[in-house]
Amino acid sequence: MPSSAKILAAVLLASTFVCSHAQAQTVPAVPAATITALADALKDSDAEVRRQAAWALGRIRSEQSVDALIAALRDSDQEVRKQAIWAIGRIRSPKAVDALTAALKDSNIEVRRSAAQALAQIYGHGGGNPNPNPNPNPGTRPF
Amino acid sequence: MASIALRRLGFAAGCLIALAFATPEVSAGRQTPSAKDLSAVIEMLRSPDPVVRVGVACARNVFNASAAAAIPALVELLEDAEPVAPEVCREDHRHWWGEEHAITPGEAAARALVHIGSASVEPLVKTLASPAAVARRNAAWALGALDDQRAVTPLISSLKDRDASVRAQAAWALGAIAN
Repeated sequence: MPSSAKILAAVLLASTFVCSHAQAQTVPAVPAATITALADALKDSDAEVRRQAAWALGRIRSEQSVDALIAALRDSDQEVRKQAIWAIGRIRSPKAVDALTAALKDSNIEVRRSAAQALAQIYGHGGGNPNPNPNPNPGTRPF
Repeated sequence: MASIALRRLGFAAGCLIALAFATPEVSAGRQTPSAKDLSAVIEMLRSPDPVVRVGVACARNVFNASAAAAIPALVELLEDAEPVAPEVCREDHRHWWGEEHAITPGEAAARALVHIGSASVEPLVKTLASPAAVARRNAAWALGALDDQRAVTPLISSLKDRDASVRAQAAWALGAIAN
């Protein structure tokens, strides 16, 4: 019966809409203010602040932070560069491919290795999650 | 020599405190500490001996949602940075930091506040404005570990804190709360 099929389709469509809408409401997105503030913290005078900010942006995984993270690939601190690469790899932003390719020539071997892993993640070859949090500072105690 | 003796003393005191709270009812987790137990705990949190303060704050089974009465005493401890031998906080401390890392009453208090849960959020947010940088840092850590959205806006302000260790801890906390 075409009419019952239509009704079924309508019900299905409605339910998927309702479900996706409900889900969008129950999972609050990270506020844009958080991302902006953390992107600013990538320019902090203290390297540990920059490292933690890059880690946090990698957790948040917002496309909005990619430009700031790409800029952090030129940071003087190698841990900041590594952490920024890890974050970009998690966001899987194709926009960052050129910057990551440049990072393959970084002076530090760990930075180069992270860049290769991040590129693999962006190109969908897994790449895993090699540095879930490589810089836990003594203050950031695991709970 | 003196420091070794002090460590030994700290260890002994820590064991005693752990033993005091390892009564079967409490450690089984079924029964929450009584109001009388809790007032003894609060008194010990204000002990002049840092080993006692850490030892009590570390007593895992004491701090849960029904120990909210201890929140003010724990918040006062957040600025306490006197290092104590890690043995005092044995079990979970050695697991995360290894034997050589000292622990402070402030750090132990931050963890106790996280165990108490949601009721700790507002007092911790207030502590982000404390004059003591150590207290602000420990509060930022606890707010990240508590994973509560109410802390997001105050933590964004802490990214501009005058102390770098507070800024770093706030950045970490914002990442810990996300998702």
